Amino acid sequence: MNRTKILCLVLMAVFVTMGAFANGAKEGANPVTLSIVQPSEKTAIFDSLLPVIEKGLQTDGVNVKLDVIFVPWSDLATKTQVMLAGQDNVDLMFDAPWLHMNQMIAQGYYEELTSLLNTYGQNILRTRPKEMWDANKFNGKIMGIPLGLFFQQPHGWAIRADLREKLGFSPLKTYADIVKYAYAVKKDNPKMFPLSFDGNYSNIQYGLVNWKMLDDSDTNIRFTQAFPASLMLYYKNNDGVVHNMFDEMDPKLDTALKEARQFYMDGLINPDVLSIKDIQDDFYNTGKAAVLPIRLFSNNRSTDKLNNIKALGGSSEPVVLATKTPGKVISNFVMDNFICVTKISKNKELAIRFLDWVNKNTDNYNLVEHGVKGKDWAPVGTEKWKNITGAEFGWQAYALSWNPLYNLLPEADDANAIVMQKLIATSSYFVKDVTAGFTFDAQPVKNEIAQYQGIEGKYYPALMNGVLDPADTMAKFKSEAAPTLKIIQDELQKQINAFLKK
Amino acid sequence: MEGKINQGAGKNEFGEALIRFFKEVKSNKYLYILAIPGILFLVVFAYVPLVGHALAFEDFKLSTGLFHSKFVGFENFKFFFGGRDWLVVTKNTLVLNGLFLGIGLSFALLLAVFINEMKNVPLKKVSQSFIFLPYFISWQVIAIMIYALLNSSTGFISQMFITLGLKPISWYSRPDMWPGILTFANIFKYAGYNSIIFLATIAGISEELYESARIDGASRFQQVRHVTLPLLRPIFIIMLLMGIGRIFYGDFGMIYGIVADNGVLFPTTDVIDTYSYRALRQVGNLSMSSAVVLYQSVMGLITIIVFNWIVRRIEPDVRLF
Amino acid sequence: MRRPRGVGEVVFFALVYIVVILFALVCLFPFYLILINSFVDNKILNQDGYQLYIKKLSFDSYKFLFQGTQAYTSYRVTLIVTALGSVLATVITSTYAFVLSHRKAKYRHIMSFFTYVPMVMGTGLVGFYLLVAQWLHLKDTIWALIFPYLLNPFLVFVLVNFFRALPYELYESAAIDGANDIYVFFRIVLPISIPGIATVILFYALTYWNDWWLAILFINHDYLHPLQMMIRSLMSQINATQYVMGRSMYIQSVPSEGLKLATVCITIGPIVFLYPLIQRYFVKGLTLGAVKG
Repeated sequence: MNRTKILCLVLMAVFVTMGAFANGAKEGANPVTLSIVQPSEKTAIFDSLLPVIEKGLQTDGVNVKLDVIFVPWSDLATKTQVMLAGQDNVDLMFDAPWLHMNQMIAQGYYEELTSLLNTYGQNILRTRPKEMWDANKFNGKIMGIPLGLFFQQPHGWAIRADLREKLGFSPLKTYADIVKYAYAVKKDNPKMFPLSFDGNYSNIQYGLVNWKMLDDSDTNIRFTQAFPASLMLYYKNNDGVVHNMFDEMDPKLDTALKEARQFYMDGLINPDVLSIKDIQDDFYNTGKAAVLPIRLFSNNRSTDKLNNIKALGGSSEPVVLATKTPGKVISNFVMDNFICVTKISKNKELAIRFLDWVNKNTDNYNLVEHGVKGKDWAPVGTEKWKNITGAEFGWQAYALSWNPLYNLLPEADDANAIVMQKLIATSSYFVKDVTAGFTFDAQPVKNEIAQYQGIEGKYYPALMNGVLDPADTMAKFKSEAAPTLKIIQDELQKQINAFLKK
Repeated sequence: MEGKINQGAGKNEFGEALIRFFKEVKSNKYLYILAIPGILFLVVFAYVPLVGHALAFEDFKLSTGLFHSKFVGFENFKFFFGGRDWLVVTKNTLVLNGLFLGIGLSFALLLAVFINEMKNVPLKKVSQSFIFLPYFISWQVIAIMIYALLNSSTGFISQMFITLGLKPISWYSRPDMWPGILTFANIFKYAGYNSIIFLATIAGISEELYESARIDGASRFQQVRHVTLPLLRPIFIIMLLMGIGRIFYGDFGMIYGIVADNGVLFPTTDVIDTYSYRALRQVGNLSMSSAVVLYQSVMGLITIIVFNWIVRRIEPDVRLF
Repeated sequence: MRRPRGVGEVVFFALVYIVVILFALVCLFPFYLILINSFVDNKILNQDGYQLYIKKLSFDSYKFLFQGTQAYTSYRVTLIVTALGSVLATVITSTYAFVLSHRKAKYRHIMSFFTYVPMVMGTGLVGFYLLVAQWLHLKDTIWALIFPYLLNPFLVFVLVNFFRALPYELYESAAIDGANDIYVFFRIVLPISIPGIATVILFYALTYWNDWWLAILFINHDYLHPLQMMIRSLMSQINATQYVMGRSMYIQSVPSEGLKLATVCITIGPIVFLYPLIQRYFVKGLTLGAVKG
């Protein structure tokens, strides 16, 4: 490589650098740029929508430009943590209890918002009911704006409607129905594994037993604040007592585990379920399974996935097991997603004013979530919306602005789904969990939690999906993890007792 | 009186060393000038970030930052060494890496030698290109391929077993099979890539050496044994040594991509990196994960120093440092 | 006089051809499947799995990847980073390795040690991030994608090995002629080290081409997203859709099966053409018989 060539390359490098820097330069000093971290990717209409939003903001006196940084799901945890630890100039950060919100709060990354909200965020406050605010405080403080449409995540079971009809079942109503249906599908299609639940430890809330217990409104066995997706520590009823599956195997859990095992042995569950990455996509959507857990009450699943099933000559329908009777389901009203203001932000007031503008009225709210009315979307009646062109969403509002007041339901939602969604948006439908508002401080037991999860990953997914014999596995699991779990349990109980005394 | 003389001697020693240093640099100044970009880079990008390892001994908080967070000694190491799993995952890491290194590198060497022996030039070039392709296939895609081969319902291998009348093996429930399977996967992905270095080395071997061997009556096979292989030994040992220093780092992308969360296979495939990832996913504590990395670093350093010392005794020309 | 080929010889060559061809086919076959199936209609992929030949041709996966301008932007970023990065890195690495391999350099052993240590110590994530983002202010610049890889200790040692094999007489005669070390390196050593240099350029090119880690850490906006980052982001979004809210961002069908394969193809595409180019430098004779046993 001779010297001339090297010189040329160096010159090229200089020009490229200049170009790169030119791109990175910020526009004038007048409007303040808010830096917002959001998960996932831009939607198709995002780039055209952003100027419209900015214009709306400026018209209403919020002089900001929005710089949105998208982080892919697979790297969300690492990147956001590193950004915060590296003291990046981020103003608004998406976070969630299932991501690392509690840890970030403990390390002092987020700003306490009560006074900011009182002064600049009246609309934010107004559009979320009091119960939601009370239940989503961290140690009594507001550390992030809760984002949710309902007081609980919808959950349902999608099944292949065509197979149901072919096998002569009337619409399924109970868990037992689903089981019967699954067996019938297996008999009819021996090569199929009808139940497509998740065996990945990171998505274990979609494991079979976990999912089944969501609809158990008799004992209301549910997760504790220590582990959001593990029933090894669980609450029963509503007494704030932490139970430990090693010591007290509730009969319902016992049945569920044994049942899962039976399903596995009978071929209802894929034998390699623990190793499959996308069991939901790869199996249900390609016709190799017939039952799927969904976070919806309706059939409005990704259109493209529905298309896949249609292409096979099939159709999908939701089965909702959640009860319609109020007063049976316990909820702690904890939201899944939050938007937080970073402590090092220099534009805290503007950040809140931006969010306040979004939550001001249905026009702003739906502009952000769906795009330009009349161009990207149109209202259907008063409660629904429908898509006109392009992407289904402008901004993915679950990470920025979701509130129960202005939410519009998708056009495709059926009557039952609408009823259910209305129910879970009402606090009176639920029984309030006595631990609502409790924040678990994991610091005293962080070593135990780390050790425990190292072990749990070996056994819990297998138990959830019946891959191993429950009795043997529990015994092994217990011998390795019981002492550690007990320590965590005791600490959790201690903190809850202190909370309940107040 | 004595004290003063001693002090003077101490200062002199340091001064002498400094003089020697400058003398050396001056006499070979062009050499060291050439090395400046490299040294600069090392200092800035390799050594400055090492301060980050301090996290392992701190209770890192944003408010106090990297340099002022509270010192907590070995607290962050407790979660890892407090359980029993650290032995298992360390063993797995060493075993798997040992297999990858030993068998993988040997096979790459073999490939390079064989390819070099091929007389048919088009075939030779084409094979060289083909074996290089798997390097570009990400572990996630390779995991899908492995699944397509080994899964119990539609797996290609399972079907083959059935057609041959044998009872199919349930691969994904057999931890004992996986060191072997993972070694195959490693070879599949990296043999072509590694063989390039060996091929380039072979290209540098003078044709005269083969000529004189031929004149002495050696068959081609013997030429390979007595010319090619000995001349490949230095680079092979160097590659081996470099791998040994990293023997405590599991290939996270590979193992998490293929084994993922299949707990049944953990007894033989769970490595330090996957264990740490799983244990800390919820706790999300950077200090604790730093502690594990420090463990891997220190152990690796000790190992390579030992091995390099051994190599220096046996073959001084081939030492890594 | 030539010895007649014995049975051993025949067996040897048979073994050579069998092993190499077999392994080459094993390596080719998955890639063949990936290539072919990236052009297969997504419906068939969903229903029947991977095909051996194209039943129904479809460019949907590729069309999806190249819709909008991001793919072109990302390709451009990756090309610039790879070209610039590999050249710069090779220059820095080869000069440095030359010094480490030279018998004259008294400090070469200690330098080698300090060169190797980073391979073992890893870079603490936080320290690394602080350095590049905060102390060097390289966030969202193309240099953040280039600088961190400019010296790979592994490749340093590979080149050290190449240089060590050169006869020391070369340096001695050059010294007699009055040449300084810089001249020796660029005018004498480099030209006869082509296979080694070619290897190093190739490996750096691969490193830069395949990288997404630097992009994820330091690039916040898509005008600087390299190819791998774009792919990673896309695949992660498609996979996550189900969990987030059961709805997707795309009204039109996402050919997700074919997409996974198409991403592999557009990644491999250019590099597959680079390698044969480099291959010709692995031919004997370019070192001009410099290596003596």
